[in-house]
Amino acid sequence: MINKEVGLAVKSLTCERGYRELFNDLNFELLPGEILHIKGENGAGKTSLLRIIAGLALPVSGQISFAGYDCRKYRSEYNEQLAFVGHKLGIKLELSPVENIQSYCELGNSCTPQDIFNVLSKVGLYGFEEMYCNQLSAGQKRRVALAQVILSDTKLWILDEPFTSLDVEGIEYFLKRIQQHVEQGGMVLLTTHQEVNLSNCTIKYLQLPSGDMNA
Amino acid sequence: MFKVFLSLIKRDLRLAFRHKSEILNPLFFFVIVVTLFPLGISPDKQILAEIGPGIIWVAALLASMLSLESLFRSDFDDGTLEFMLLSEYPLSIMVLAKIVVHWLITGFPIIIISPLLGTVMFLSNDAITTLMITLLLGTPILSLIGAIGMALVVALKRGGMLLSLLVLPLYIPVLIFSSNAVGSSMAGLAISGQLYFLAAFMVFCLTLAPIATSAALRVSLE
Amino acid sequence: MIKAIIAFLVKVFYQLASPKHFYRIAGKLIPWFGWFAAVLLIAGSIDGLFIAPVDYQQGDSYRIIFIHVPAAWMSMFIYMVMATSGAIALIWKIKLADVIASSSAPIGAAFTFLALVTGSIWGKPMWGTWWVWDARLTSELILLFLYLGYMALESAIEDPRAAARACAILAIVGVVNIPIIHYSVEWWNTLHQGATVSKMDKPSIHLSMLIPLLLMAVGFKLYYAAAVLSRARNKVLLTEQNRTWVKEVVGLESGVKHG
Repeated sequence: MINKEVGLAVKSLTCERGYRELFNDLNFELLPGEILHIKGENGAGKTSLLRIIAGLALPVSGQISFAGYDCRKYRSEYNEQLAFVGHKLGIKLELSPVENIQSYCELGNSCTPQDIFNVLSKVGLYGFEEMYCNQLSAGQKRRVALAQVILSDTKLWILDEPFTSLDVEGIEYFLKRIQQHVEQGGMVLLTTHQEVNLSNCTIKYLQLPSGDMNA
Repeated sequence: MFKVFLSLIKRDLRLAFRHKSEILNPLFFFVIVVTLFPLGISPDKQILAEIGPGIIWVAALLASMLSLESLFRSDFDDGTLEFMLLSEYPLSIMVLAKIVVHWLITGFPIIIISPLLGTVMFLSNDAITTLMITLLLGTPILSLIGAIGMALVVALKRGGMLLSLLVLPLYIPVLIFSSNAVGSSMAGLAISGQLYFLAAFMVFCLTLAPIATSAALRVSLE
Repeated sequence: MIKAIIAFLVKVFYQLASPKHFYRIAGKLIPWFGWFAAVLLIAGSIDGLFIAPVDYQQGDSYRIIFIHVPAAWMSMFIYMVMATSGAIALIWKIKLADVIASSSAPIGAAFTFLALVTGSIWGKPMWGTWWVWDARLTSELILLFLYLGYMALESAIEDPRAAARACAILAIVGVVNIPIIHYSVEWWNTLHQGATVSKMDKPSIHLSMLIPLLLMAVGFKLYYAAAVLSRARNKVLLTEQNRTWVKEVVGLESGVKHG
């Protein structure tokens, strides 16, 4: 059935911010077809955890492997399988959505202009394709960023608060896309304050310890 | 790999031309700083010819340094730098592309306008030619070394002053050899030694600076 | 056989590099380094100030070299230490190396400053001015800028681990550039000054002057060892504050019981 080796495995991860320990000896596994919803209070280290897993930050100790390979040693191969949306959207305000997605694609997987126009109309940006992004609303910019993830042909999606400033329809649409991705054997790691209700999906939860200083 | 290099150059040039001030401001700065010296010291032809090479080079140094912000700042603020780090291509290639663009929009205009400044500082024709050659060899070094410093401070809110402290000492060899070459050619002396040094230093920086810059960027984005 | 020895050495090395062992061993070493440094520095000063012969050109004013020259040596040496341990920390992820590098910086800066001040004091009777753009002094000045940049960067980055890694990169870039800077300053100096009075370049120094010089140099080295270890011990406590051994140590040494 499911090959245990193709998932994401996190072993005894420890993370500090400044000299304060956020979490200690964190272990989990994520298999194809699964969603991991990371929960925790503000300051518990959700964003730090996602950035560590994406390879943007260094943990104090611990190991992250993807498909059985150490992510740090095989950075390029890992990055090929990874799509990330963080607090910063990675959208250039002086470029149009099309140009933005184009330069995003040129950093990794290739895509045709036709693909870009298709995905933009699907995320509800039909007619905005050639406008500069500084004329778009916060929610529309978020849609551009998520369109990049949808377009990317990657296995693992790491989404940090992806639904911020999206309207109800937008959230619904992206949840559907997440479900579709997972059904095709993808993996999703996300933090959100939204309830993620998806039928026929394995959703795991990871509760980070509270950021209480006296703990 | 070469495709990503070219496409980043294309993107950054497009961005620069949508923000024309990014190209023009360092140039104006360069011209204004040079203009201040005759006003501050003396319009005397002999004095200006004596100090001209040094002044023009110091101004070029400062102009290049002050424009380093454009190298990574906006990419850091909007998050596109994270995407570069998460790309499957080597970061140093992308960093090199950004440095090339930085040189094209700051170093290159300085070279173009330098004969004008050489003339108002009463440099001889030979010296002006040498000035342009030294700028051609030297300004890429400034962009390359500056990129390391900028990568180290990009995550800091007020990195500007710190950047000058980090970068200016490393600019000293370029300043010494370039301004000396221009001065020597004023005096009709041989300058090939200085030019060889600059060329060698440029190749040296070209090989190592992108690697150091990418390491620094990874640290800064942590 | 050889493999076993190497494995053993690696094990010993990692053990020494573990903060807990380092803290204990450094604590034992510091008094030794400190006392030897004191003895050598006192002996060197007495020898240099009173016993070494008077220089036939400069009279007694040359005696400042017994501080100036060893300080200048130390300023270069410590920067090398910082870059080397920075590289070790980056490559082998040994946290202790970061601690050594960042503890060294202020000491190195202090030696550089000392070399500059003594150099300019020495210059007054020799050149008649407090400052001369001599190659050695100019290089020291630039080195001081490098140290200041290092410390400024370290204090500007809030996360201590990121700061250590950024500083390691800066130190390596600096150490690669120092020979180039040094060479260009020398070259610039010979062009502009012609023959200045550079006393110390010639190896013609008499043995009676060499002995106090070496005493002072070794004394400075030992002082540096003691100072860097005690600074590093403090830093280790700070960075490892979440570990139980630190809590025990701090509890023991302050006499406060942790409940």
